Amino acid sequence: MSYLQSILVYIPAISIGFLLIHLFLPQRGLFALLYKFFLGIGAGLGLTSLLYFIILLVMPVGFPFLTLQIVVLLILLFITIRRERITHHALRIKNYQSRITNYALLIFFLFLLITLASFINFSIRRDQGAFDAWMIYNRAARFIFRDTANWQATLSPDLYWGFHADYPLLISSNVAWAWVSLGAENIRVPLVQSGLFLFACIGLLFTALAQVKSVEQASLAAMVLMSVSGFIRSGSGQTADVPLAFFMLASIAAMSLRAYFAKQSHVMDDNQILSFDYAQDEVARAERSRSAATLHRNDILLVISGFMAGLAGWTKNEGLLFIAISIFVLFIKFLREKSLRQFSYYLLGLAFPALVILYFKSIAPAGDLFSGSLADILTRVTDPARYLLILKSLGSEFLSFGGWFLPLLFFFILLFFIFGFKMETETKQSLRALSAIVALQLLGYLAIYLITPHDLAWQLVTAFDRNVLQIFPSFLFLFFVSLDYLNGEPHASRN
Amino acid sequence: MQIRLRVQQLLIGLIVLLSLYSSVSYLIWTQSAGTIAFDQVADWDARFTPVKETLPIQRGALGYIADWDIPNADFDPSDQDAEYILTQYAFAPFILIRGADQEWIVGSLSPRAYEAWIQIRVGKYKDYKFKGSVYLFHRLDLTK
Repeated sequence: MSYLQSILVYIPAISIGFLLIHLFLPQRGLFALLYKFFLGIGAGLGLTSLLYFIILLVMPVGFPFLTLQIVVLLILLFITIRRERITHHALRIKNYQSRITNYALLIFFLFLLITLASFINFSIRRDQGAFDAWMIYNRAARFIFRDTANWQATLSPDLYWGFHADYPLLISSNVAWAWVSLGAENIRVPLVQSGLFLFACIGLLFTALAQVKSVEQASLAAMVLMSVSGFIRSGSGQTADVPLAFFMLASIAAMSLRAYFAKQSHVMDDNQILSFDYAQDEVARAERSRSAATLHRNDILLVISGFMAGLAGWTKNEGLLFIAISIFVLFIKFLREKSLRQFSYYLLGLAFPALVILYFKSIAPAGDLFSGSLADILTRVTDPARYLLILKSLGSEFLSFGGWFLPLLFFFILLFFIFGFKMETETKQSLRALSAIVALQLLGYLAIYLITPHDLAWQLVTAFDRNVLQIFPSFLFLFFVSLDYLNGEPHASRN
Repeated sequence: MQIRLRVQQLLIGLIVLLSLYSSVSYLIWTQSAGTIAFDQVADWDARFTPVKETLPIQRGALGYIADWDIPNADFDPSDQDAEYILTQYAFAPFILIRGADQEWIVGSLSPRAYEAWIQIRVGKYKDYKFKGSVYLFHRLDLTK
């Protein structure tokens, strides 16, 4: 019963996420719909978490948050059904004739089943999650649930640093509002949230690649992701690394889809234009007009990319680094393309989570990584032994990451040499910028290890594999989107 | 061209097989990931439930002492650290501050450590004993 309750409590949130994405991105096709569904899981959970944080600030006790979600869901359902009736979109499901494509799908589903079995097996044995999960995220959720009126005690600087009172609240606040809604501290709730992010991350990688590249490419990438034991273990362990990986991937994939659709924009029909004016008798006209109130689908993808980057920052402090790097890289990209207006759409999506994060950081205690004087930090930065240790750790991680008995990196090199990269001219710039974001994120992690006041060897052993894991789905996406078609048939299985 | 195609197929096949091996190995490992019947976190929660019921306050800071606070006591630092974290989790939304400066202090002490701690503080604290080497101390003199 507690499992069922834990699943049901999140259905309004993820449905709101899906319907919002669907309303703003009215594209059709099986993979497009599934992409929006997986994106919607993160968007919904991110949005409810941000809203619950605001509710905690304004009216912590007695606010009917679940009722509000159900009301919003019903309104969105009403709008969606009405629009679907007017626009008469038909779901286009491509009949895959290619035997290779069918095999690829079969393999993908086989791996999905194994992953599901592993997730269930692990979760029933460690239903409280990993050490960090209950120590950091479920602890904060307990503080909020058990004494909602005084929830800010979870941010107390008196708490031992290991509890990380400064960590953003996406995971914890979602657990807390679900507990409040259920009226009990149901330990299945964080487990279900963790599973949602795990499978949404796999689904997002698969459906994004299936849209911009091919089903074969998508299956292979998702399969490699599911074969990484650390990824499944982290996704079952209720920590924030997989949700963070999800939001980074969501931001990068949305930006990449934008580049792909921009390439096709000259053949875009009017159905791909989104209008904010959905009055019944105005819809057809509004959809055909490019008025000032309309936003192009590609602009919406920019807004979504910014929003997802913001949610990465609301998930974990590493996400703040991702926001800073994304802003820097995208500003340069759009400046060079002389399209800073596009950049403003990205900032528009980022604005809401960024404002919440800024306020949160103003009331949260300082993090432990930047403690110490400037002189201490300079001493660490100028210590060659630290560089050596970090580089050794990086090399060792690259060779051992994935848990395969042969280094996973070796197969990426082989794939590169045997298939080669094939990027279309129109999307090349975007892919380079997105790859720069992922590379700089990794360099940023290394820089933080350089200045950490904690024992460096201990910190590298306990955290570096998780850092690599956080960027791995984004890396997989960019690698397979750049790789030449596996079946040698460009666009063969594109939906 | 044909050789290149065969090499490509071989590589994809090899990646699929290695992925499958890795996934199935992990699935088998999850069988030994823990015991369904034993939940250490829930067990620790239950251990401190009587203490929380005894406390006359619902929130605020509590002191925390364990064997690592007793001179010459034998302890494993990593065990003590884990116990402190588990205890804080059990006591949320109280904030557990190490030491005996608060009005109410939770103790997780071995019998010898308890004797060592209390014998030099006779009359200064009222102590409550619970099962599992758990103690609650009430500081009587709050002026210091």
